[in-house]
Amino acid sequence: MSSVPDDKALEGFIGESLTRMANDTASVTPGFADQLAQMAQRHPQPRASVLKRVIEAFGGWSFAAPQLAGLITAAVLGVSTGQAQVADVDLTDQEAAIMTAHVFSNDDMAGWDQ
Amino acid sequence: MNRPETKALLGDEALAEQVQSGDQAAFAALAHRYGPKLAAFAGKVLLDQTIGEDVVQDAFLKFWQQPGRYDPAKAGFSTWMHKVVFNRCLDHKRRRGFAPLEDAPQQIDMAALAPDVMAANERDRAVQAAINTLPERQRAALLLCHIDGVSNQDAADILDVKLKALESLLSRARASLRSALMPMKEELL
Repeated sequence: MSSVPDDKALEGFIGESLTRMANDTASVTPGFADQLAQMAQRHPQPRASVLKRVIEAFGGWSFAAPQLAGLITAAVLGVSTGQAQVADVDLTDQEAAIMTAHVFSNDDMAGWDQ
Repeated sequence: MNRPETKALLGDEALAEQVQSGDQAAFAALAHRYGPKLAAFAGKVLLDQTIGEDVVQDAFLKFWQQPGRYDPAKAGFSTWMHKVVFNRCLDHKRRRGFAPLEDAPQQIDMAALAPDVMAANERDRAVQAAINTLPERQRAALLLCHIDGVSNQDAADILDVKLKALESLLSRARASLRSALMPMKEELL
């Protein structure tokens, strides 16, 4: 890259052009933000009787299961352990599958945000 | 408390915390605050606006369903969400079997974009076309630091590289832009 001329005027122009583009969201589909915002209404946030399902996956209510299941539930659902322990709504099959998998392996959720 | 105008006054991290409690209005506020900006970013990284918007939708949906994945102690919400979106862009390209990240930039005929007198928007379009020819990581570094206003350190975190490597990406990106635009300097300036 050393052969590229160090042209201050051109560099300045490029910088100004980038600044003009800074908040340019003109290419984004109109109404995109509204559509995005409404996703929360269309997709209920998972809550669970997950705790119960996890405990079942552990093979029953042993002395360690409630605490461990609470921690896993909280980690997977992204809620506090307190919330996890009081959450008590139905779990979809997909959520149950994720939870069950998570009990036996930490790999199932790895990488979604990596 | 749940009125959108009230949410607009809250900081990102406060809103993200409310999302953890299932607050749809807080989620909507973050979606409005960052959705279009992230979609523009993803569209430019992927060179496909429609797919970029899909990627951002997917990222926000994951955030809604698993808000605990965001840890405010580790990064600001904007930085974290940029990272999620950028990684999803990479995943998308890998799945689709696109060229490797550091492939040689595409060659485009910049002269074809250079009429005698260019309007401001045409000049910006020429710069955008030059940006589009950059290798993916150089393009992402430039977009983050110059267009999205992310700090160099945050951009390094988003791209998962050291600060020095980020600075090298930026330096190479700027040199490539100068090189691409030099032939049309007279029309641009």
